[in-house]
Amino acid sequence: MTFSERFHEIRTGFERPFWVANISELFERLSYYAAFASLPRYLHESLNFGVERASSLAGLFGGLVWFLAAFGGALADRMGFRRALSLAYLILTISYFLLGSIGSPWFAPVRNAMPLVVLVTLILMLPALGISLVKPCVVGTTARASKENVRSIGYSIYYTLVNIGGAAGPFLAGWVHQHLSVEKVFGMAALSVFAMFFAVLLLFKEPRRSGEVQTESLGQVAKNFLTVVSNWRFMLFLIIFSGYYVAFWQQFIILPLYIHDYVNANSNTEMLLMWDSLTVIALQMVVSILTQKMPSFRGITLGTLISGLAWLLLVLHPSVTMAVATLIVVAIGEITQQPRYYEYISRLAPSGQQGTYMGFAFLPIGIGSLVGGWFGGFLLHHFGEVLHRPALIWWAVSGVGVATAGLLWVYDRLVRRDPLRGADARGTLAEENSA
Amino acid sequence: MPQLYVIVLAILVVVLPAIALYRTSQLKTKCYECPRHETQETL
Repeated sequence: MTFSERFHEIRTGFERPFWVANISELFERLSYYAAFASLPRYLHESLNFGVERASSLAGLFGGLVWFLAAFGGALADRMGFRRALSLAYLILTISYFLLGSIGSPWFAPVRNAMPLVVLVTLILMLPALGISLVKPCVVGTTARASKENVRSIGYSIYYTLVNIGGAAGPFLAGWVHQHLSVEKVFGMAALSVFAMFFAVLLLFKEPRRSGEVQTESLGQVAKNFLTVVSNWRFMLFLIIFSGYYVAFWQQFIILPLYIHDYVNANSNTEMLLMWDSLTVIALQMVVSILTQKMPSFRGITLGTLISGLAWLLLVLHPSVTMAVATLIVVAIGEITQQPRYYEYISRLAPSGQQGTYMGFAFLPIGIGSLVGGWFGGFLLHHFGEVLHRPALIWWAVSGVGVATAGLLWVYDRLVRRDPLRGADARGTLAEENSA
Repeated sequence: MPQLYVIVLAILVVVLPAIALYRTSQLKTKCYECPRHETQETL
């Protein structure tokens, strides 16, 4: 097939809902990562929460969405993607607007009606409702509004746009924080998703349903949940792997506070956070090629080890430049493990339960953020504010990453038992093809 | 190409923690913001 034929296939292979949903996802991610990048310092410096509370709340914001993902999918299927998407963008608009308005004079009656921590917790829980609806709609639209021969490219476009949003969000947050105010970052995030509310209403047409798509009831989702929970080997793997994300999320939870408090108070801590996504965009393909023959479980363990050790770079030389280097190496570990992680889980699932198992793939990301919020806050307070030895924070974060890699290795030796194990050790042909 | 990964990994596992240990005992990190830290250089 010539290049022009392939280009024609791609040009004609996607229906309009595909582009509307995916471009709206870019702006949703932009808003989310902009808000996340500014959140810890906003909570600590503008709302005067201590570092422990600020980190825990940031962890809640980052983590809750991943727990609701499975239920969001069932709800989106029942509502229809157009209604679910527009409702989600409306919820997100209100959430980000409220988040940036907490300190405003007009918000005083609400603020005074309850303890600030309760109010902030409630507001931080709202975006999770919206995001958990957006994700299944966009992924579902990608499947339904693209022809079979370009569908895999459709998913690549989806992941690329997510990462562009992940890089653009912190960049814009940094610009807005520097030139306007940190509160305006949340206003910008609200505007971005509000525009998508109209874009969906005006431009998005419900994609057709293909015969194989089945709508699961919420009861069925709960039943599937119990089925997977009873698989103790799988649950143990997910709990161990949560350690990866406990360390990973520290880039959003405590790194901005650390850089601002212990390295350079004038540093643009939001813009710093775009390096993870930039690295993923730039190196995903190269790392995939380098690791394509590696068995999936080894890829997961190796990626975990690389990301875990990366944090020691901040001990070597605590500077903004070294923080960038740290984030680049963390991202290299991330792209080493992530495709193999999803591949491993999809192969582990019994026939017909892939969807349910994949829904659980997000669990470590959520646990990592919730636990990571509490853990990061403890580290910042204990090693920074009490012992005045902030470099030890990164020893602890790195320790969690390396210990996770060690536990994965032990799990692989002692516990893991799946039908692909023998084949996996040799690196199967299917695995190479899917990499 | 797998050899490249082994070399990088060896650096990460052995060299990086060794230098980090050395630096932990040497580094001084200034704290600009927190008044409690201003008078004493940490680490």
